Parts: sequence; C-alpha cells; structure tokens
Amino acid sequence: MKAKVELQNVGGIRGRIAFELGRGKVNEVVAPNAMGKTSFVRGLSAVLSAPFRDEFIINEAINLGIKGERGSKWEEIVNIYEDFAKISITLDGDVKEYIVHKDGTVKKAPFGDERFLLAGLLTGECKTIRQLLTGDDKFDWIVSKLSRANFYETFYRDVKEERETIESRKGEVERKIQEIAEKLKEKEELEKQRDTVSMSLEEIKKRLDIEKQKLLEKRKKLNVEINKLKEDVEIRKGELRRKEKEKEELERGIKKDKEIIKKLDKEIASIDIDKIRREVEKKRNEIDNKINELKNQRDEYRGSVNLFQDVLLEMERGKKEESLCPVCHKSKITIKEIKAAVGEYEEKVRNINSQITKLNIEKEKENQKIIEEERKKAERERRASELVKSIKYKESNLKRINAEIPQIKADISKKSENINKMTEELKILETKTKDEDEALNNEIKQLEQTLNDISEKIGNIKGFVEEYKKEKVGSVWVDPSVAEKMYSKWLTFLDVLMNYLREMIHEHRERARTRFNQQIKELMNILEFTEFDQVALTADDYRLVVFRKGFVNQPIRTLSMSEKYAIATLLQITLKETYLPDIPFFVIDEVILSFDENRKRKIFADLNEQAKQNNWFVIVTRLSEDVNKILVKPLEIK
Amino acid sequence: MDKEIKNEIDKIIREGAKRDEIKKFLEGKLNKIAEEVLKDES
Repeated sequence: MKAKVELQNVGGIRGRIAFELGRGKVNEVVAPNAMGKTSFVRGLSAVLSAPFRDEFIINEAINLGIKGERGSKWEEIVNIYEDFAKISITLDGDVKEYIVHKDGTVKKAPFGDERFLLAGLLTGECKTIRQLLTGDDKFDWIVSKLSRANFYETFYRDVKEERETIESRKGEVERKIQEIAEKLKEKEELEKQRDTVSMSLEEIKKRLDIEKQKLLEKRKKLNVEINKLKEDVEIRKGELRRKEKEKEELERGIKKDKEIIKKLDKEIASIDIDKIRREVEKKRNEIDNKINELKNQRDEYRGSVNLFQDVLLEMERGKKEESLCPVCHKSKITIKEIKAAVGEYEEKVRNINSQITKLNIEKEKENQKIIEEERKKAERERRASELVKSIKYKESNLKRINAEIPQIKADISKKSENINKMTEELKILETKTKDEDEALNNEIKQLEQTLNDISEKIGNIKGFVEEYKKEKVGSVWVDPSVAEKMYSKWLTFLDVLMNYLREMIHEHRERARTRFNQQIKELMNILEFTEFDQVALTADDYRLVVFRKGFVNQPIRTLSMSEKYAIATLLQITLKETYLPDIPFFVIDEVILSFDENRKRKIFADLNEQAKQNNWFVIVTRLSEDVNKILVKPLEIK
Repeated sequence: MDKEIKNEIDKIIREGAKRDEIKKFLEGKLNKIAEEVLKDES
C-alpha cells in the first residue's frame, strides 16, 4: 500500500513534483543539495499538521519555515516566484490538501494534528534539537502540549477567558450599581432643589399676581373715574351746546318778535276806524235810499195789484167780461188780461223784495266791516302785547342762559383738567406696572430656567438610570443587581470548574511524564544507549535530566553535540511512539547520519520494526551527490 | 464538581477539546445558572 505525495511551489520546489511512499517501511528520500529535501519535509509536515490554532504550535510552524514570521507578507512555505503552494497526500483513497496563498491566506486545510510538528519530526530544526542545542532543559511542553493535558489546558484557557470576561462584566455591573446609587442620590438632591425653586417661583408668581391685581384695581378705578369724568364732560358739552342753541334761538326769537311787533304797530296804525265808519255810514245811507226807492216802487206795484184785484172782484161779481182799465182809465180790459197784469205786478213786487233783502245784507256787510276792522286792530294789539310779554320772557331766559354758559364752560374745563391729570397718573401707573412686571418676570424667567435645568438634569439621570437599570445577560435584559448576582454565581461555578481542570491538567501531565519516562527507558535499552543511565522528565517542573553512570545529573548544556543528537533521537522517537501512534508518518532528516553505523543500524531497525508493526510511513532524507533529482526508495537496512 | 459535569468535560476532552464544544458546554452551564437566578428573583 502506498501514499501519494504531491508538492507544488513548495519552498525551493517550483512547479509540481509527486512521490509515492511505501507503507510499513522506512522510505529513503535521496537528493543532492538544493533539490528540495527540506521543502519536501516542510510540505509533508504542513499537510499533516495544518490548520494551526495553538500559539505554541504556530511558533513552531514559524521556526520550521512552514509559516511566515508574524506580520510578514510572505508565507515562507510558498515558492518566492509563485502565488501559492499546494501539498496533497492521497492515502487509502482519502485526499488531504493544504493550499496556502503567499500572503498567508489558507485556501484549503486538512483536519491534521498540529502536534505532528512537535512529535512527528526528527530534523535539524525540530523543537527538541533546537532546545537541546541551546541547553534549555525545560521540556514541560512535552506533557502539556502532547498529552491530554493539552486539551484540559485548552479547556482551562477558554474557561479562564470566559471567567475574565464575566469578572470584567461583573466589575462593570458593580460600577454601574454604584453609579446608579450615586445618580439616585444626586437625583434626590436635585429634586429637593427643584422643590425649593418651585416654591420660590410660586411665591414670586403669587406676589406678581397680587401686585398686578393691586395695580389693575388702581388702573381700573382710575379708568372708571376718567370715564365718568369724560361722560360728565360730554354731558356738560351737550348741555352747553343746547344752551348756546337755546340762546341763539332766544336771540333770534326776540329779534323776530320785535320785527313782528314793529309790523303789527304799523298795521294797527294803518287801521282808521272813524274813516271806515264814515264810509260805512255813507254806504248805508246810499243803501237805505235805494231800499226806500224800491219800497216806494213796491207800494205802487202793490197799489196796482189791489186795483186790478178789485176790478177783477167786481167783474166776477158782476159777471162782466170787460172793464175799464183802472190804471189808464181809457182802454178796456179783460179778466184774463187783469189776471196777467196781477201776476206781472206781483212778480215785480217779489223782485223788489229780493233786491231789498240783498241791500239789507249788503248793509249788514258794511256794518260787519267796521266790526271786522275793529277786531283786526284789537287782534294786532293783543298779539303785540303778547309778543312784548314773550320778549320779556325770552330776555329773562337769555339772561339766565348767559349766566349759565360760563359756569358750564368752567365746569367742563375743570373736569377736562382732572381727566388730563388722571390720564397722566394712569400712564405713570402703567409704566410702573410694566417695569415691575418686567422685573418680576425676569426673576421668574431665571427661576424657570433654573427649574428647567434641574428638570433636565433629573430627566438625564432618570434616562441614565432607566438605561443603566438594564443589563443584558445572554439574551435577556435584567436588573444590574440580578446581573451581579448571576455573575457572582457564574464566577463561583467557573472557579470550581477551573480548580477541577487544574487538577486534571496536573494529573494528565504527571501521567504523561510517567509514561514518557517509562517509554524512553525502554527505548534506551532497545537502542543500547548505554552511555546514559537515565533520561527523564522531573516531576512538577518537567525538566529534562540526564543521568550518567553513577547517577550524576549532567546539565544539558554540558553534553557533547553527538550526545545531544542522541538524546534528541531518543526523545523524538519516544514522543512519536507515546503520543502520535495513530498518525502513520514519521520524518527524519540527516540528523542521525552522524551516528556510528551500529547505532544507525539499530535505530533504523527499530524504526523499521515500528513501521511494520504500526503500518507507518517512516521517511528518512539523505544527501547524495550520486543522483541529480529527488528519489524515493525503500531504505535498505543492513 | 458534579459527576455528570465531569463526564461531559471528559467527553469534550476525548473529542479533542474543540473550542465550539467548550463554548457550548459553558453556555449551557451558565444559562442554567442564569435561569435558576431568574427563577429565584421572579
């Protein structure tokens, strides 16, 4: 059964090379100088141990040239002319690949065992040889990194890390609780301050209200008085206007009355009653004359009627048809004619009566004329007399009004003066009110500002406390006091856990030490390392001690170079057999070639036996100028 | 230390003390304690 190893751009190898390794035997890798033996060893180590997690192992990978220095931009295992390195091992159909970019980015890593770098190699650069060469005897890493103690240490470190985090969080929570208590105290103080300021503010506001009220009342009173005075002035002005109008009217009335009296006097003077009487007497005489004339004529006509009626009566008595005319006494006259003449004369009498009646009316009218004129005169005299009386009355009123007007004017003037005074007083009062208001308002503003500031601070504290009152523990928010309790319990638990892990670390280290010491003792017997009586790790501090015959503990630094290589060989084979029996690879370079043939033979024989028994691939590199490329072949053990 | 917990730790160690497993273990234990505390508080 074989394992196929392929390397591409690894170290000094540019491009791709592949080898086949035989299982259960020692494989010899032969090559001249600078043909890639070391690169082969590094590549194989990388694919068997990557990925690297433990800091100690990462340091080892750096020392072995598998990883670049920390902070370096060049991953040393990658060929300097290429961008990446790729190593693969195909074993039993299973392919393990390690691909890394030159900047150190791992593109693909197998699930290797990083302990291979400590226990799977026996090369000039391996940890054991480096340490022995410098004389450092502190080999505690053997028990701590290779045994199960390593896992307990990993566990312990993680728990410790968690504990540190929790302790730090607990410290924060405790600080928070302290801070909350301080803030609450501060809040209490601020609330007291706020109450004091609020009270002051209330008092000032009350004072302001009282002062305002007082001033307002004063102003109101003044305003009422002013308005009353203004009303009075207006009333008085109205009164004055009325008086002046009345005065004007009186003056105008007196003037008019006087004019009328004058006119009446003229009219009275123009009425001559005696003249009218004379004219009326004359007219009446004329009418009387006319009436008398008419009466005379009527008497004549009545005499004629009587004549004719007497004739008629005689004729009717004498039954005569005709008679002598009683008027002319010459002609004859008939009854009919007599009747006509009677009618005619009666008509004339009636006309005269009518005329007399008219003339009597006319005469009466003439009489009325006198009465009328007398009445007219009397009327005018009466009116003139009344007007004189009226003028007197009006003049009396005028005199009174003339006396009243200056009084009203004086009153108006006095009241106006009072109004002006009061208005001035009101203005002063308003200014005073404004000034006092401003002063008090400023004080109120300042207090309100202080109150706001305090409230803001209280608000901030409340917000702070509200925010701080919550502590996130895992996925839940709890009160800091609960969190603190929780953290305390966690820490107690972790302390117990860490104690247990420490115990287990110690136990496993001791177990590993005992096992290692036993294994190395057996190996020394097998390989006949008779120059040493005992090579072992000390208890507790895990230092490597070398006892020569006679139990002399020889310090490492005083050993010869070949002795150091011999012990290194013992150590590495023991480490491999003790701790990595399940990883079927063990790599050795020219280190052991410096041993004498007998020792070399014994070592190779043992390795061959181990390879056979455990089905390992043991790989030994050897420099040879007889070949011109890397060759892999089974090692011939003589 | 509780025997059950020791067994859990032993199992994690035997499986190579993987960080994820350790983390899961710790979370489980701490959550259990947290639940107990919260229960006591409520």
